[in-house]
Amino acid sequence: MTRASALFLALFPAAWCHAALAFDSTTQSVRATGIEPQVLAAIKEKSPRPGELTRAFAVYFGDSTTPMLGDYEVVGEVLRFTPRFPFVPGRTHRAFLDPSALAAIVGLARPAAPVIQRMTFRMELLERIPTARVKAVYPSGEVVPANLLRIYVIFSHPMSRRGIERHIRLLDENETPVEHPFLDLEEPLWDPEARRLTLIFDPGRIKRGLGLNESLGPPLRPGGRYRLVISAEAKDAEGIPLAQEYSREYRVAAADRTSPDPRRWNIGTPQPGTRDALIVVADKALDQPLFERLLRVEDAGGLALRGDAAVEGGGTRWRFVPAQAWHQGQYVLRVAAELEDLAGNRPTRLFDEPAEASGIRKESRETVVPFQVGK
Amino acid sequence: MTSMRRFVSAALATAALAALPAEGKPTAGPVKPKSLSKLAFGPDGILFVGDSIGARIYALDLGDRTPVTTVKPLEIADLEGKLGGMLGIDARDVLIHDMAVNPISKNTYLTVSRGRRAFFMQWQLPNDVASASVLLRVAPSGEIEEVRLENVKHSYVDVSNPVSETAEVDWKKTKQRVDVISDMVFSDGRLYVAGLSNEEFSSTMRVYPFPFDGRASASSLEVYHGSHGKYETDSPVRVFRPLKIQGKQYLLASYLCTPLALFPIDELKDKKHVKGTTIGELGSGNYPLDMVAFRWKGKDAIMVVNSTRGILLIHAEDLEKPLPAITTHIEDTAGVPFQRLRNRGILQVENYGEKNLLLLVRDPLSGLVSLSTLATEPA
Repeated sequence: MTRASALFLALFPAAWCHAALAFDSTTQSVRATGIEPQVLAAIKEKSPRPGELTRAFAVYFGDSTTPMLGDYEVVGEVLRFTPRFPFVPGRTHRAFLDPSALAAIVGLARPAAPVIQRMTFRMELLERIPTARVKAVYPSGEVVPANLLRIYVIFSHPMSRRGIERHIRLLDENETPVEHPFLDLEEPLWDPEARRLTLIFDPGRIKRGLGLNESLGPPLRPGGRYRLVISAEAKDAEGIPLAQEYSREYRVAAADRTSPDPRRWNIGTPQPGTRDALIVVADKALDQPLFERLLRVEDAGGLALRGDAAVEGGGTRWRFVPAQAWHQGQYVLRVAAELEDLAGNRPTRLFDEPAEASGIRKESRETVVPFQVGK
Repeated sequence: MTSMRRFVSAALATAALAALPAEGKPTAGPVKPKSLSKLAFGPDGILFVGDSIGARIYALDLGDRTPVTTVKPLEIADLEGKLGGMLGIDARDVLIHDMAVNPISKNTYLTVSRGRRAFFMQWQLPNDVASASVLLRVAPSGEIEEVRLENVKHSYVDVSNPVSETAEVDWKKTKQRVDVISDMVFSDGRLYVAGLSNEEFSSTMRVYPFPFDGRASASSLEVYHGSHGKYETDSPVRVFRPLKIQGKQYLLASYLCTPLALFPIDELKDKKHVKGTTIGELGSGNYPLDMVAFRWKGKDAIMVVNSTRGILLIHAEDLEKPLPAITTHIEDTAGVPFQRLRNRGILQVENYGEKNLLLLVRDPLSGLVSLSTLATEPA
């Protein structure tokens, strides 16, 4: 200890009493102030393990007696604790600071009268501002067939898994809600992250010759205009409503009972030596998530290329950027059997394909389309 | 192999090495895995961390090699409560992903996340609902601390052809990517890594000599699954152990719903399709959660810890007898004899010295998780 600071301590033994704790909501950290500059300097120099520092300065969650994991950092005259994970809003946290123990950890003398500081704090549940919204709806085109099978709603945030059906309506041109357009499922069809919701039109009303199709008719009438509305009351995973209502209009064309035919697709081939996108233009709009996922490009050796695939053009174009440059030569595009158009028709089987005389349904098969890169 | 082909493959191997400057060589620095998916111990206190999302395997040298030979009982009650305090959440949210014990120091390593509340259906495993981001060390004294990864001596190897980040499991709609590394075991100078590739038959066993030197092999795996009555090539091996039977080395592997199969180690060649022999069916509707080989009442045994089918003990001597090969549809269980013990909620099991097991247990009545040793042989 230098003579100057020894003198400082002798003259101002009460300096320790100024030690204080504060929760800093902007940096989401706990600040310990009033710590002897020498101690701060020693902490900076020796950077003791967080596990050691918790004996002198620790933050606890709720009534736990195990200190929270986090980082300790000397910033100017402050020793700052930032938790490994954010503080949970609305929950009580406790902090304690023992300046004397802190000095001991870095090998400095303990002051005569240590004053242990304690504090509890709680980050208020902010008046949470709604931020979740509908990011996209597929089909993304304006016109859909009367026998449309699925609508996908993509949200910007994970949503509450229950009760979404109460907040979705399909209105006709008179703003009259269509009754029970979608299959009534006990559990709505969410993806694992609860960002993508799949709405399935009741197949009983779409398939020709079924009772519901004949009594109620298909939910969408050819030539009609419909509006899909997702109310702002829909809740995200934390129970906060959407930032705004979402609505979009579809025009309905005749029912589509033809198969997509990958052999008729237009494949815009890239230049060898580049990582230019491969653009595949389909013969009609396809089910977007399936289109994105069920195409695969293989090289002449049968190895699947890695890369990023995206669908654009209202579900009619597949764009694939390979991770590595194209080579001159033969490639194949593999289109999985499960690919479907907007009405659920597959390349080798219609959605409501009648059974053959034998009573056996046609199997769907993969389609393989060769293409050449370079000459 | 002709000499020309040998030359070509040697040239390709050299090219592969030259293309991967950072891989293989030990360096000190930050380790930033995207997910701490699986743990396994290697030689000399090396901790392997499998990162499924990042498709990479790290070999961490944490300097943890001070031998502890006298094993004292370890008992930590309400482990999730303690971890909740450390992570700043309720015990209800604490998710323990994997556990490994350093055979030298008896330090236990856990990977954890804040993700348990994200479970929403029966068939999810921890890595399906969250990625672990915290590595913890539990000393034999019971003290728990975080292992920081900002500056660690380590080497790594990238997993080639990992299953893509978008591929989903057809029936449960979870991401296949979390199973790029579904289990790892180090044995006899090699790290064996089960998981999924982006190949047509995606279930894969990869073998990496350690220290990593750029060499690797990947074999696709196939088994007959008696209780489903079909061959499987897409379901990843969930747990496995190396095993010697009649002097020959095998991997004993188990899968969801729960075939038990043997794969001869000498058949695991790069790009080979290897068919396992299904020697048992341990029952459907079940995940094998962990597998450990240990001494039980003076004999070698293998324990399979199951999610719903209790604990199965297979006596090593039964594997030395003529083994069944299941090739037709069966109901419930069949094959190699096993003893079924009640499972009082064991989630994970590891060897803890030669005469003890370390059990991670969720008590079925209190719901609390504990970590405790169990003596399997007289001290």
